[in-house]
Parts: sequence; structure tokens; C-alpha cells
Amino acid sequence: MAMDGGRLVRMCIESASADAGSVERWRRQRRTLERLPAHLADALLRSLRHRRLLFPSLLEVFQHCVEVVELNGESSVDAEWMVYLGAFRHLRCLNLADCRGVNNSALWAVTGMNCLKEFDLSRCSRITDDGINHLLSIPNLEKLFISETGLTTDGAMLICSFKNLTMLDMGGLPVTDKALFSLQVLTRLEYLDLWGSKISDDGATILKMFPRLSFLNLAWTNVTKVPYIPSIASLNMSNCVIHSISPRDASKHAPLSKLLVHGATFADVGEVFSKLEGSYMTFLDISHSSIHSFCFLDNLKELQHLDLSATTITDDLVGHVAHIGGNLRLLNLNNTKITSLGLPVLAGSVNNLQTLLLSHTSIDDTALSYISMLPSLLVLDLSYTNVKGFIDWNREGLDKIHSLSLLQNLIHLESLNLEDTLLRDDAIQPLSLLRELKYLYLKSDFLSDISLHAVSSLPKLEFLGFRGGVLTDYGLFVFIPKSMLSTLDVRGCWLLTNDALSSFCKMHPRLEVRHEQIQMLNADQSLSHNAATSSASPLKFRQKREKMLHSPGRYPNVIYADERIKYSREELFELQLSPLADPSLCHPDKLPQILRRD
Amino acid sequence: MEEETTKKAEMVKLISAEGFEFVIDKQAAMVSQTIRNMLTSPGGFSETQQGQVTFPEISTHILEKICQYFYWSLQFASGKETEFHIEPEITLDLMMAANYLHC
Amino acid sequence: MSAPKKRNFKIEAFKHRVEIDPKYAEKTWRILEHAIHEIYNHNASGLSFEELYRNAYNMVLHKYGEKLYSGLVATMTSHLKEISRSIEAAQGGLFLEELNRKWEEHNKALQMIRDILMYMDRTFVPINHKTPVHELGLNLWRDNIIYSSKIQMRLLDTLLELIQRERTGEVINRGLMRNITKMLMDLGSSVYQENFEKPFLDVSASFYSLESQEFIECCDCGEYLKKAERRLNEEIERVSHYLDKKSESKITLVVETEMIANHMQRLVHMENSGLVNMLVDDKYEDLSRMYNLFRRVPEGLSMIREVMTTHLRETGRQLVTDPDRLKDPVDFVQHLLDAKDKYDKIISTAFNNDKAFQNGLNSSFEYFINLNNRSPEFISLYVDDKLRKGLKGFSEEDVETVLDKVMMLFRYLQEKDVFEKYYKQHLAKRLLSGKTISDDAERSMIVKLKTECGYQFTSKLEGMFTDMKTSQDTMQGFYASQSFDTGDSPTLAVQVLTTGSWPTQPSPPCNLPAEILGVCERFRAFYLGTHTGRRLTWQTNMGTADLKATFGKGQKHELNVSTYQMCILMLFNSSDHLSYKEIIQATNIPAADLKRCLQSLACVKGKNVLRKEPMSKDIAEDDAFYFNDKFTSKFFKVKIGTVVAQKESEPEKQETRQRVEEDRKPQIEAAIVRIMKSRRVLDHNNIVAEVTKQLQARFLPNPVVIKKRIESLIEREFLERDKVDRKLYRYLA
Repeated sequence: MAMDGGRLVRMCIESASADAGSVERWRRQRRTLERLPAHLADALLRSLRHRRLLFPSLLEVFQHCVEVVELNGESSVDAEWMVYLGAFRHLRCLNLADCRGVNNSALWAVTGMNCLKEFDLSRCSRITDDGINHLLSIPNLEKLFISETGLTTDGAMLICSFKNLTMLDMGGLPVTDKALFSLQVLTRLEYLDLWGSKISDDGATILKMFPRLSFLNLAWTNVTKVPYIPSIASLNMSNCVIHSISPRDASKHAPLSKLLVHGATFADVGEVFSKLEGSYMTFLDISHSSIHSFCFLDNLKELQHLDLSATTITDDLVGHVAHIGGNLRLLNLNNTKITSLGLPVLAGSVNNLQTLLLSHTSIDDTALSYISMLPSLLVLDLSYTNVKGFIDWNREGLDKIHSLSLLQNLIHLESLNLEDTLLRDDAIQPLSLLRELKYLYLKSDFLSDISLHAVSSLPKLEFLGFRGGVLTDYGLFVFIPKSMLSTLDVRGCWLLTNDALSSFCKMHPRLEVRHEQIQMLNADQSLSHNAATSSASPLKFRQKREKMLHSPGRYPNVIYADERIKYSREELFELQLSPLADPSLCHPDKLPQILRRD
Repeated sequence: MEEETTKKAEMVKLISAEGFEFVIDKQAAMVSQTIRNMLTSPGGFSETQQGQVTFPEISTHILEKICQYFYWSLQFASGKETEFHIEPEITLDLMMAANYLHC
Repeated sequence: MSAPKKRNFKIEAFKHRVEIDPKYAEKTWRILEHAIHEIYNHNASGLSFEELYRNAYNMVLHKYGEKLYSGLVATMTSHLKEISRSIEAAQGGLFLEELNRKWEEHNKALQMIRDILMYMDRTFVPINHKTPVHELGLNLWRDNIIYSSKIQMRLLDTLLELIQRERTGEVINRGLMRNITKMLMDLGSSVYQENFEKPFLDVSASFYSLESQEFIECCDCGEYLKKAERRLNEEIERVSHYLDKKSESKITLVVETEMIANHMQRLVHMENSGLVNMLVDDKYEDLSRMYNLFRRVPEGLSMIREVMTTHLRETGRQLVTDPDRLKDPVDFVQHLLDAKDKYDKIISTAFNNDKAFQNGLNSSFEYFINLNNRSPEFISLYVDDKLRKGLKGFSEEDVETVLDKVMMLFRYLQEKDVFEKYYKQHLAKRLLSGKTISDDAERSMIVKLKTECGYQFTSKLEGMFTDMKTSQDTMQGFYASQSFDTGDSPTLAVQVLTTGSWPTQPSPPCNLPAEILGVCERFRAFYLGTHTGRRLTWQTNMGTADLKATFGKGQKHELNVSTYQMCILMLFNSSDHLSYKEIIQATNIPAADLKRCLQSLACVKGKNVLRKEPMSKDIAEDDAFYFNDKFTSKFFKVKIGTVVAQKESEPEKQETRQRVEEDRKPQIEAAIVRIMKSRRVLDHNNIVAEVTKQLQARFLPNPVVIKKRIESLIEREFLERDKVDRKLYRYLA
């Protein structure tokens, strides 16, 4: 009983935010609200927001008790909201990221909020240099996020008055070296994000003046030389032209452990890395970068995460990875020229590998016998490869070996992606041996009912992707999902009829089924029902929530940090303007576990 | 309810701000982590000695609801999953009391 | 979003909240501070938990958490300073008790304080990254009591002194010790390690260093080990009673290093009581103790093993090369078996059946058994002895045990083919003379050899059994066909031996007596009648005969003799005395055999059915032989053996050796051809290595012999030398 001690509190919060009527029945209890402990008030406010019950004048009742307000992604937030928020005398943390309604004058309301320590204005594009003036009366600010706002160098220079800042995100702002020079008084800075700014090598020299700086993002800048920075642990130089990264005295300071150089161009990669104290590095992303020699890897013996996707790595060069493979947890070889001949080199040396990504390579079934020698593997991506599920021992094809059965040696495997491979129905059966599998992704024009049934027995499967196959109504009807299965993705499966899908959904109410016709089905239903009625079907409820998560913001919280660096600057700005084209692209289920953030 | 104090060791008395007394099973009262501490802390606090706790800041109707919750919670833990209804009017006060009682 | 609109929303002009008493925080804190005092003074009884909890709750709620927290630190610190003074004042032995009492009180108070401040612990502490109350209380105790300059060293000294006293046999208050060390552990593992464990280990090391020096000077090995074992157990027990579990490995390491590792060499080689003496005297307990103690230190076991195998090799070498032992093969093998039993028992009772020791034992035996190249012969003779008579009356299991032991020795043999040769000879003799005690035992041995070496090894041996069985059937058939003709013609028992299965040396048949010749011819006719296309040759050198003889005073005896002897005796039916030359002429028995036969008929006391002139031990070519009228024996049946050395004589040995070597040639050649067929080209050293590998299950081929075989194969154009590299051979298809 001690364990669920907070249950009554949670039940009260749920009841208080059940619907608009409930709110009306307690919002006049001013005295009680004034005495409400901050963490309860914060939780109640959060719950009201999630249920879309929050409106400006309701905020007023919280002004004495709330300490944390998160309204990120709420496009309706404007000056009216801000006036109420301005009266929150204990407010410690205010998140207005992606609130496009917030402009300079709305910021006036936050003047003099002495308790405010953390303020997120990321992507509030209507905030400009003038808006920063309103913030100057908040002297205790410790964390400030103003990336992709309308700020310029002039505005950025005002930031130097926040002497307590430890975290500053100025990503995507056209600020120049001049701004950076003015910031050197912020000696407490630990985190500085300058991606996409106009900082050059001149400005970068100032970075050594920040004694505590441990995280630095210089992606998409013109910086080519990174000076000696005493505490740096994580450095992002993606899409830069890199000449040198200054060596650091590892004996005195925490050494550089994480380096992202996605899409970077190196003057001399060997030279850059030879000067780094690479033996402490645990995370390296050199995807899409123009590297031809991989000898520098030989010194990075502690690497756990290595992203080599879309580089020029080949079977001949993969020995460099094998050489330092003992600690590797993740290896990304997507979009490379690696073939099945490269895998024998890796097998036996990357024994701790948990994630192996080989999508868009030309590997075939012979690779599977080597992959099956990686005992710790959790996530395996073989999509868009030449895997067909059989190994022919002789030309007549008489001695066909089910190559997928080799994967049963991977006793921990949780996620397997076989989309757009050459698999046919007769090759699928061995997949039923992968008892620990939680996520399985299949997509092929050639798979049919048989394959769906073959994998239906997997006991721990939570997500089953079976896209583009030939599924019949009967095939779906006799498919019996195991209790763990929460999502069945049959998008692009043809032959299925509306009736079959809807009766299947009724039979399995806990299962989320994804299909083009279901979305239409739901649209019809929500028209006929009133949206406010209690959500009888969990399916509909989920749809509603998802809409709320997606529609206001551009990216769901979970992944935006990673997605950002994967696009070129132009692409990024393009994305910013377009509605979310394909929600599946950034759905958390699709991500390898290691990349997911909760 | 006051007459039922025969099994003193098994029962405890909870007294509201207005002086109303609720005699409930000790086991139920201990759903609240705070009451559990009050009744089990060493050193002889008056609550442990007398088997009763006065809550000057919890009004009668909230304390009554709290007691109902204790019993509902025991039932729930034993597998009987019924709904525990909370009237919107009392949610805030009940929430504060629950927070105070850590339950 | 302009200013006027803003005013509409602004409901309260000023940012203020519910009025509270300006002195509220101070007043509330006083109540709590007072309660903390009362708790430390054991006056808490009667305080209201609810009231205190509510006050702390409200302080946190009204954002006076910091005041509450710092107040707690100050109050608790001042109490601890007072406690520290009272502990310092405790005299002598009361010091630990006072410390323990105060610690228990502090813990109880701390729990109460934590309970009433629970709300602060739940909300204020995590958000502001403070130390939770319980941990805080422990840290303050550590800093104000344990790290107090007047307590720190005194505490350590007291603890170490008590342990020293316990080591010298005094009884100390273990409960108190446990409480104190538990306190140090509760304060964090580093507190325990720095303030007790490390100094404890240092002191222990010098204690045991000194003590072990003392022991080694005055104890013998067994005694020393007993003492070391006792000390080790004492320390383990000490840990279980009042130290941290993790200390066990550390303190045992100290004892192990000081008492075992540092004196290992000296202990093992201690004069009159060291390891060798223990092995010789079968001191299982001491050996077991040594094993269990030495296994705890690096290189400990390998040292025991080393000494054991060296000793074993030396004694084994002496055993197999002792000329006295060679006189009696059965005794020789029995000694090997006894030695094996002895060490098996030592390893199983004292050395925990350690695989490494078993391997050491095996390699030692393999080493010295093969030092004597007569070992295969002797082992076969041992089996022969056992299967002729030694095992009479043994139960089936006992027979199995003996055979299993023999097989163990067999496994050590490098020249298994030599054993096979002898075994075949000995088996043949047993079968033909009908001397084997049990067919089951014979077959069991064959099965064992078969499982060990495969079908090839035993196929001929099995053939011998088949022949015996077929012969029996044939004889029955023969007599069934001859039933009309009983008469007093002699009874014939023929064993038809397949050529090649038996270790026969072709010897020309002797002249059989006419009575026998007749029945033999009838058998030949019968046999060839049923088995056309075969050839029968009489092996007169191998048979036996039972003769009925009547001597001078009319007494009758049945004589059991060899076929040769029968031929000789039958001559005396027609004359009373014959010369050596007459006998050899009449019988055509090879001279050497004839001499042996005559010797056993005329020169052995009690069996001398013939009399020789002149009387002497040896047979000369001009001797004359008489029917011995005066022969007497108290037995009706008299068995007249042939004088044969069971053990081979030196020339016979050479001959067997030669045959073995001859047999090996084709095997070596076959191996070379097999290897070259698959490798096509190979250099000399590699061929030798591979051939050795292929054949070592049967024997260890001599590299010189291999070289000769290669040359022979080159001559016969199976192989050729490479034109450029003469060390390289090439296979010619």
C-alpha cells in the first residue's frame, strides 16, 4: 500500500479535469487553490492542458500556487494568456516553445518574475530583439531557449546580462561573432547551442573563455577550428568544414566523449582525429560525411555508438570498425556499400553490439549466419536489402536453407526490420522462433495470409508491421493476436474490405489497427458522434490524443532533437513551413529503441 | 460509531477539524503512509499511545471521504475493481488531504 | 496586445498572497526545535505526531523548507556535539558501550525525526537536491562522532586490541563488536574501510607474518597445516560474527599470503614430514588439508602436483627397471596396479578428485610404464594368469574390476600392437589347452579391447572364439557320423583353426602313431566331405592327449601329455628302451621340442614315466630311455607338463619384436599413402608428424622407420621426391 500512496491524489486530479463542467465546480474555491502545494497545482494544470480544458481566465486561479507551466506547442497562447501568466509569482519554469502566438508585447507580462529560472521560447518566431528587453528584468534566469526566434545579433548581445545562465540555446539564429564576444561574461555556461548561426573561426576563439562549457553545438556554422575548451564533453560539428579540433589535456578535465560530425567535410580527417584524445570517446556520428580513410577509428577504443551511415565505408575498410568493436553498442551502416563479405570481419569482434542497422545495403542471406553470431543484439534493421530468406547451397536450389532460422541464435532480439526485402511467404516461418521479439516490420508485395499467421504466435510481440501485403478478409479474420500485441500496421494491404477491418477492430478492441480505410472509418464515426461524449473505444481516444500531440507543433517532442540534425539547413526550413507530411516518419515506434526518448 | 471501540488494538480513531470521530480498522487507516508513520513511529507519540489522531485541518466531509477511500483501496488491492467516485466540488480539498496523508 | 486590453484581465493589482503571521515561520520552527530536543532527551512521549507533522508540512508549503532544513542541521549538530563529549568522557572499557548506546539512541531519534519531517523528505529534499533526513543524520553522526579527533583513533585502537585479545584466546563481547562494525558500515562502506578494515588488515598481516615464522621453526608440516587451517577458520568465523561479509575475502587473503604462500616451498619439502612423506604414508587427512589450504593461493596446487608427479615418476621408474621385479611378470603388474590404486585413492579422498591431478597421475604412469618395453608382454601375461587361475571363484563384478584395472594400464601403453601380439598368443594357448576359467571373462576382456581400440584390433581374437565353437560342432557331427564304429580306437578331439587368426608357427607334422593316424584320416575324410576346397594341416606341436598306462605293479594311471609326448610314449608300447636317435627317427619331432618333451617325461620328479641313462638333467643325443616300471604317484591322473618358460626367453623376445616390427611396416606405409593421397605434396617433417598422429593409438612409430618406409614407397613409385626441394615428396597416382 505504501507503494501506490499517491493514487488518491492522481484520482483527484483526474476527477478535477474530467470535463469543463467539473472545472466549473471547483474553480471558485479561491482559498483552497491558494493553499494548493505547488507540485499538485503543476500536475493539475498539466492535466487540464492535456484535456484541452485550459483557457486564459482559468489560469488566474493558479497564480499563487503553480511553479511549472508547460504550454509548448499551444498556438492559441497569446498576449491574453501571458497577462495571466505574468501574475504567477512563484513560477520557476515556463515553456512556451512553438507558441506562435507569442510576440514581443506579450512578453511584457513576464517582467519582474523573480522566481523564473527556466524559460523556453524556442521557435516563437514573432519574438525579436525588442522582446529580449522585457526579459532583462528577470535576473535569475538560468536556462534560456531562444532558438529559431526572430532574434538578431543586437538582441543576442543583450543576453549577456543574464549572469546566472548555465544553458543557452541560440540555434538557428543569424547571430554573428560580435554577439558571441559579448557573451563571454557568462562564465557559468555549461550548455551552448549555436547551430546555424553565423559564428566563424574568429568568434569560436572566444569559446575557450567558458570554463564550464561541456555541451557545444556548432552545426551548420562556418567554424572550422574549435579551440581548446576546458570542460567540453559533447561537441556537434555536423555539416561544418572541419580543419581542427584542439587537443585537450585529458588528465585535467573530463575528456570529450561525444562527437557529432554528420555531413561534415574534413580537411584531413586523420589529422583532426590524431590530435584529439580519442581514447575516451564513446559516441561518434560521422554519417553523410566525406571521409575516405577510416584509419582514425583505430584509436577510438571506447566507442559505444558509431554512426557510419551514408559514408564511403566498404568491406575492405570495415576492419577498422572490427578493430575497436569490443565496446560498440550501436553500429549504423545504413546506405553504405557494405556487403555480406564485410560481416565476417565484424562477427566475433563486436560482441556487445545491441543495435545493427544495415538498411539500404546490398547484403544478402549469407550475412545472416554472421549476424547470428552477435549474441547481445537487440535491434536489427535489414530493410531494403537483398535478403530473401534462403541460402542455396547448390545451383539447382535443392538444398535450400531457411536463412532466417539462423536468427534464433539471437536470444535477446527485440526489434527486427525486414521491410522491402525479397522475402516470400515460404521464407517467413522461421521468424516464429524469435521468442523475444517485440517489434517486427514486414513490407512486401509478395507476403500474404500465410506469413501473417506464421508470425502470429510470437509471444512478446507488441508491434507488428505487415505493410503492402496481400491480405484477405478471411486471413485477417482467423488471425489471433497474442495478448502483448498493441499495434498491427497493415497499411497498404489490399484486398481487405471495410467490413472485415471494422469487425476485426471490434473483435480486438485493445489492438490499434492501422490501415488507410480505418482512418476514413474513424473520420465518419467522429462526425456522427459528438466529440465530447465519453470515449467508448480506446482506438478513437488514441486517435484524438495523437491529433492533439501532432497538430499544434511540428514535431512530437520525442525526437525533434535528433531529426533536426538529419536535414540540411534548406530542407529544415522547408519542413518548417510544410504540414507534417507523413506522421509515420517520426513515429516513435519506428525508431530503434536506442534512439527513442521518453 | 463511537461504541464500537471494543477491539482497541485493531481499530483507530480519526478525528476531524470539527471534532467528528471516525473509528476504522487500523489496517485501513494504514493505507495512508502518514498515518502509518504516526501509528508505528517509535518513541511513544500520543497517537500511538491513544490509538487516535486528530486532524485540525481536515474537515469532516473530507475525512469521511478519505475513510471511504481507505476501504475502497483495500478492496481494490484484493482484486475488486469498482469505481471510486469523487465529486468535482471536493476534488481540491480531497487532493490536499490525500497529499497530506500521502495516500 | 496593447496596454489597455491588458488591464481588463488583471484581476488583482498586486501580486500578494494570503496573509500569514510574519513571525509564523519562527514560531513554527520553535515548536519543531523543541520537539527535536525532547526526542533526544527521551521526552517525546505525549507529543502529538500529527501536530509536528502538520507544522513541518506547513513550513514546506509556505516555502520555509530551507529554514526547516537548516534548522534541523543546526539542532542535530549541537546534540551530536554534546553526545560526542559524553562518549569521550567514558572510561576504559566503557567507551565502546557508551558509543554503542548513544548510537542506538541517535538512530531511534533519527527515525522519529525523519517520520515527522516526512513531508519535507518527500517534496522539498528532492527538488532542492538536499540530502534526505536519514542520510543526513548518519552523515552528521559520522562527522561529529566518528571523525572527532578524540574518538577516531581511540575507537580504532579499541577494536584492534579486542581482536588481538580474541586471537590470543580471550573471550570478548562479540555482540558489542558487531554493533560497532555495523555502525561503521551503516555510515558508508568507505567509513568502514578507512576507519577499520584497512588498519585491521595491516595489523593482521604483521601478526600472522610473525606467528607463521614461529610455527615453521618448531612444527612439522602436518602440525603447521593444522594450525594454519585453524587460524583461517577463526578468521572466517570472526567475519561471520562481527565483520562485513566483504571483509572475508580480504582477511583470508592476508592469512593465506602470510601463512601459506610465504612458506609454501618450505612446507612441501619439509624433511621427514613434507609432501612426499605424506604420499608414501597415505596421510589422507594431512594431504587433504594441504590441498585445501594450497588451493587458496596462486601456484599452490601446481606446486603439489609438480612434487607428486616427480615423486611418482621416480618411484615408477625404479619399479619398472628393477631387475628383481622383471622375474615375475604377474608381480610386476600387480605392483603397478597397487601404485595406481594408491594414488587413485589419494586423489579421490584428499585431492577432491581434481582433474589436473588425475591428468598428472596419468601422464606419470604413461611415462614410466613405457620406459620398460616388456610392459605390454607383462600386462598380457598378467591377464593370462588371472584368466587361467587367478580369478577362480571370483564374482562376476570382481572379475570386471580386475579387467578394468588392466585396461587402465593398457591405455598407458604406447605399443598397443605389441600387447595385441602377446595377447593373441596367450589367448590361443588358453583356448587350445582349455585352461581358461570363464568364457564370459574372456569375452568381457575382448569387448573392452574392442571399445578401446576398435574392431580391427579384436577381429582376429574373435575369430579364435568362433573357431573354438565351430570345432565343437564339427566334432559332434563327426562322432554322430561314426557312431557304428566305437571299438577301442582312441577318442579324437580336433580343433580346426582358421589360418591367419591364430598365432601359429608352421611346423612340419610329426609322425603320429598308427592308432591315431587312422582316426585322423577318418576325420580328414569327414571334414573335407562337408567342407570342400579346404586344406587341413595337423598342428602336432599344439595338441594334447590323455593316455591310459599300466605300470610294473599293475597300478593304472591316466597320463595327461602333449601330442609330441604321446607320440614318444606310444613307441614304448612296442619296446622297453629306445635311444634318443631312435626316437627322433621314429617321431620326426623337431630336436628342440623333442628335448623339452623328453626332459619333462624323464627328469621331473613325480612325473618320470621314463627313465634316462645316464641320469642327468639335460638331454644329450646319445642318451637312452627306458619305460619306468617303478613309476608311482598318489594321483590317478598325472599331468605331465612341457617345460616351457611362461615368460619369453631372450631369443623368443627378439623374435616377437621382429614380428611386431614387420607388422608395423605395412601399417606405416598405408598411413603414408593415405596422407599423401589427400595432400598430394608434403615435406618430410610433416609426413612424420601426421603418420605419428594417425598411428599413435596403436604404437609410436620410429621416425627412422618412417623414413625407410618412405624410401621404399619411392622405390615402388608411389611417391617421388621433388626435383628442386629434396625434402618435398609428391604423390604419384
